[in-house]
Amino acid sequence: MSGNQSIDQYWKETVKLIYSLLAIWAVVTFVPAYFAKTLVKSTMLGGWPLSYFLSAIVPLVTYLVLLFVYHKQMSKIDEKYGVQED
Amino acid sequence: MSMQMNTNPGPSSFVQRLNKIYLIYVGGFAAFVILMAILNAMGVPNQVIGYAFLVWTIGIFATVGIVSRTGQITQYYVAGREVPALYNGMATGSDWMSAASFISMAGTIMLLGYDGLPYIMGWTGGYVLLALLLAPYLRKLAQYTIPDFVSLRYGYGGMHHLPRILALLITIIIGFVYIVPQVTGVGIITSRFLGIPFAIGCFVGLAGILVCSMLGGMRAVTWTQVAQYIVLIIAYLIPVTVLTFQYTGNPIPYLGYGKVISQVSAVEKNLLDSPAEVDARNAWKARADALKADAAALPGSLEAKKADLQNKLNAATDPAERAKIEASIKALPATPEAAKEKWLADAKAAEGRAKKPAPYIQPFTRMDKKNFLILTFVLMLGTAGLPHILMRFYTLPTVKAARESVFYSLFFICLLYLAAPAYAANAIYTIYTKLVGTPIAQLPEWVAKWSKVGLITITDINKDGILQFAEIAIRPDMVVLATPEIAGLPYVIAGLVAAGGLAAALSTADGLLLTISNALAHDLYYKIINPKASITVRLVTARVLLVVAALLAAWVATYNLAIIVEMVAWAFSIAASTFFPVLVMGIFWKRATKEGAIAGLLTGLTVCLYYMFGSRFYGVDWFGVRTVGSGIFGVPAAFLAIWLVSLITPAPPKDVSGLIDKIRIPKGAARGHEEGLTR
Repeated sequence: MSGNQSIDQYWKETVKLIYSLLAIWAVVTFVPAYFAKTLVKSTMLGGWPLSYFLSAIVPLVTYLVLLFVYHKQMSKIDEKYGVQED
Repeated sequence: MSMQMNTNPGPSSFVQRLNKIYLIYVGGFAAFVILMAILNAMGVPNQVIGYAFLVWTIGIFATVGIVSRTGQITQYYVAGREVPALYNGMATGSDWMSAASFISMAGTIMLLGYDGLPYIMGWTGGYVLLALLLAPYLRKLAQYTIPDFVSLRYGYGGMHHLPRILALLITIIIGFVYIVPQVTGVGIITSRFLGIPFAIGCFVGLAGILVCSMLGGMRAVTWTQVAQYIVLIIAYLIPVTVLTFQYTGNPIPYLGYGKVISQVSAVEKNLLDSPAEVDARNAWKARADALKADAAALPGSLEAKKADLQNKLNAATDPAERAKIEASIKALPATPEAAKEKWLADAKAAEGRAKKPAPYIQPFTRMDKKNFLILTFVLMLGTAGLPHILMRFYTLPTVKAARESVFYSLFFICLLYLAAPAYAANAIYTIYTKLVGTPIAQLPEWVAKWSKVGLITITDINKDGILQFAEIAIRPDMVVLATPEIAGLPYVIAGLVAAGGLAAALSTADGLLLTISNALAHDLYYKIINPKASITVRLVTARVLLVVAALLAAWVATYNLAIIVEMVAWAFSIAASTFFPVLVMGIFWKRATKEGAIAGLLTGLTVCLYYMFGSRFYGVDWFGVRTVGSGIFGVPAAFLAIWLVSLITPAPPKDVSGLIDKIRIPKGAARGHEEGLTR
């Protein structure tokens, strides 16, 4: 941690990561639901109606992946700017 | 144990000890279940097994709670900030998953089909917001309560207590709305399994809650919640796994139920249009018309019914027959006004059942698209703003562990949330294929059992002696509770499910109780009324208030008001409209001022409550949004109020901006018993 400038930079990078993850979060949550009436006509492997699969399974698994990526990426950014805990 | 832990044997050996303790616990639990199964097979009656399960479960939780007692303030409020990420994940999981998640959610999804999925997405997706926007920063601040955060960030200058007071009031509102149904849930489970009156069941549950939280505060609650998570997840997954395997041959319920859903769709195509179903639906229509005609012909129609029954009574000689008729006379509405209300309500219900049900997976047939998206959104923001969940992230040893722990929390929550739609699909498939078409005299035993307590109602409306789909009414609680019997599992599994439901209700109640009493003892008493109080006095106050809050919750729960179950969903709108905006803006916008925060809390709360009560009781309707979605108006109102009022009021002092800089980086986070950040 050296001066305010590097903290600002750290924060910018953090916020950028947050924005990109939130964008994915919003897409997997709301887009399949928005088009559910069209998607319900398609069936995928294993007998799943596509709309149901895309709202009951895919978002939850994606949320988990997002949180994993967030945890790993933040640790990297912390170290890059030397603001990790001792 | 208390003494040993204070000497702090180093983090890795602490984790090793925890692993060992909980492994022994899981082994002991499995051994207990097997022992019960053997005893049951040897002829020990079900009632005794049921008792054994509840006594054993509460006993174990109480033991953990008593062993974890503490006299240290950081232990009492934040479990000494030493809870490993994985264990906090489990504790958060059971803190989060309430009686409603465990018992009612699967049934709600069955009744709503695709349109029930906002609950699945909303109650998991909120953790993404929690991780990205709140949890690490809360941990860095290292306080005890959520009002602490609000006060440290916004409580400067004149009237510096006001933000804290508002925050503690909202904490208490949310906590109370949420805790009463948990106690109700405990009351229902204990009364059903022990055969005791509901009100006594509530107080038995209360005792179970108190022994877990009173002596050890957050520390005891954390370690019992971990134990409770293990019970509830095993209890939830066993029945659904077995049933999905029976139906599909797939041992993983999460993936297997897709096949069940497609079979449901295939079966219902022919079933719902069959002549018998059409006949039953027409009979409902006739019933609705008859009720409406009766209501229109009041008071004469009521008199006629009374006279008719009286004549029948006079003619009857058989005592059983007479008792039946007397009961029917008693069941008649007392006044024409009461009759009108009842008959019109019955007519409306009958009309609903006269309609052909929409296909199970067809979207937006039971909830329109707008309300579906709004509900998902509000549940997510509410999840991220609930104080009893936020508070858990103070207990982690580091900021890094806090981020990691949200991942674990969501993982443990998803184990249950991914399985809930499987329960729903199996249940509807069972009804379509095993129940519909059976002669009413030959229904399976579990139908009779659960109809006794009103969870399933069979009405042979077209009097053909055969069960039609239109003749079945199911309460959401039924699905999880009856699955063990549907799958033909031994009674022990039903006992296990009851223990799981109890664990879910107790763990959430513990977390909430602590949130409420901490807001009173820490924020109101220590921070505002008596800042000079000694640690002993503070701990005694906290415990006294805990008991008072618990008694109050149990007392309200004994009334078993229907509206209370509905109110849990309201807590999400309130949290989304108040804490979420104020906390997020406090971290991400340095310019947010004290006045802005006060305006935001008040505006969000007012708009949200106005629409909630207005739409529920007084016919207010903005764009057709349902009551559960009230937060959709409160959230933007709160953000807007914070933004506008902050811009027209003087910027926060330098020390606040310095504090925000400190919040944003992990370096320098308080460890263990160290003091948290100050301005």
